Amino acid sequence: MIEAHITCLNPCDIPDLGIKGLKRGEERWISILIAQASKDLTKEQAKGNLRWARQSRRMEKAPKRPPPPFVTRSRPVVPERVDPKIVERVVEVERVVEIRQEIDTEELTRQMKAELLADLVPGLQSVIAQEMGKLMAAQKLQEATQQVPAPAAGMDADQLASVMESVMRRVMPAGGGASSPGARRPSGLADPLFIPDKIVAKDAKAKIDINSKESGETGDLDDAQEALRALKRQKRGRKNVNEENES
Amino acid sequence: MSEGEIVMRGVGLDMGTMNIVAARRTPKGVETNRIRDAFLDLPAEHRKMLKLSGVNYVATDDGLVIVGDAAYDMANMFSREVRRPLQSGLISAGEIDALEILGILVKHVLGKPAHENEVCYFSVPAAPVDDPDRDVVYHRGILERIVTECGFKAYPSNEALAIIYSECSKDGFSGIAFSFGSGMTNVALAMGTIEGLSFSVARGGDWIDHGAAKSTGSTQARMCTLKEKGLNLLHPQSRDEEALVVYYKTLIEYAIDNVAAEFNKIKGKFALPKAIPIVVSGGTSKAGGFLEFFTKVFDEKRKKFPIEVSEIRAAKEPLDAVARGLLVQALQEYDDED
Repeated sequence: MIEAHITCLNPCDIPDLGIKGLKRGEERWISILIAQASKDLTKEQAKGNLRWARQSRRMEKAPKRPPPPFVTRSRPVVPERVDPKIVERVVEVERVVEIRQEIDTEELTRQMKAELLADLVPGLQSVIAQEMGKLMAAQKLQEATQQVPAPAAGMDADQLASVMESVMRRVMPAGGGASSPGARRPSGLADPLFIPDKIVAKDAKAKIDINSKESGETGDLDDAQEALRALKRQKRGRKNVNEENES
Repeated sequence: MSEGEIVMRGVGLDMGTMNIVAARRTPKGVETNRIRDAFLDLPAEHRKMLKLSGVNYVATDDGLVIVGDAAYDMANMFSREVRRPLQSGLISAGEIDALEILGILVKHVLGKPAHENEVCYFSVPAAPVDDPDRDVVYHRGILERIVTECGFKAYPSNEALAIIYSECSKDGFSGIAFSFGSGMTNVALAMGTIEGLSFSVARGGDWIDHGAAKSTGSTQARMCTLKEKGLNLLHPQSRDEEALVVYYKTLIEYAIDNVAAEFNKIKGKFALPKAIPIVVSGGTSKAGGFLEFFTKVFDEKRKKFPIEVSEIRAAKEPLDAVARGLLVQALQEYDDED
């Protein structure tokens, strides 16, 4: 509702409105019609002892809006002081948690954890197996190239730490290690993959002639097979010697 | 089974961006089946015409899909671009339609298995060092599924390592293999079949075509045709060919530099007791004078190269070397069984 808002600038009286002894800064709200009808009010306003205006008494200060993001401030924004009532806020959060517990989200969480584990564990196992395989291959390579005595069976702490580091590097999601030069996308676990099935259509109507050629020689293939067999025999022999030495 | 007895079980499957190649042992020798890894979809009304012209096609619910080499010819005829199931060496996760076509192509290239769960080694590129966002895991998973659905027991194996199996038996399966493919370049270093280093770079024949086309204001397809017509890297005949040579050189330098960088990372972990050979292979290495050109570029970098190299040679069959190496590994599975 719009009313007349009187603000006293100098001490004065408004006799026809029954207001006496107005002090400087004092405010009064009256009906607009009464204010317009008051001669004393007009007189005092003319003297500069008061001023009045049409206003709504309920009008409040508009909330301070944040500046638009594209406006550059000339001075840095000073962070707001921490409200000492922060403790009360924490209590409110706890209350929310209690309400959620009533909905029995724990059971939901447990189910989700179980599903996630079911997906992750086989992948984790394969990653560990791969890293172990790499380590063993590196050991074999060292043995083959440097002719150093084979290390004792099992793994030392450094090797275990190295494997764990590799596993963790592959398990952790990508993006965090951008600074490392050899950073590669972790394969296997970070993103569960959807591999569709029934990709190969069994009853597809197709006419496909394949370019086929047959080389009359098998020499290279035979050589490769024979060399592989020899390599295996050699490795087996070396392994046996190592075992004999150990025993 | 006695040693030397012919084994006709086991298949090697090279899944490339440009070609799919399968290698099999036969009583007479080695049989390789190849198909161009490309397709083009057309409306159904073209079916009759295609039957007459004898091109390879797959009939789908929506129409027709031309596959193989004919896809390129038809694309020119209809002013269209061919589609490829693999982009830059890997299956694109967004190309769901392409998976079905890829499945059919693989099924035809592999043929029927000799027995249930016949061993099939298929090639997988190494993770690219210069593009870590490329998903090798998805690629491997899809191919494993396709090969399995074709009735084989699928084993993934590194693409460049397969070249060492096929080309380095006389070196005790030790060497550095460069597989210059269409989508990417794969590199592996092995000592006695044990992989010491493997990686890929996301640059290959397509990158050369694209770069050369851009610098001369030509098209990638034209550059590819120019290359396949018989470009000689040592004697370029035109401005376009000169541009191609520049990009070939940049690719080779980039691959060699990356080998040095990757090897330096693992240098302290093992030593190479003797000099090892470099073998270059892949469709991109089929350009005339490639081996000499590679050797020339390598010689400029030899002093700073951290590995002692005994010789540089080309694979005997650049398009089949990977499939043959995978076949050697597949045959070995049966050796182990017997």
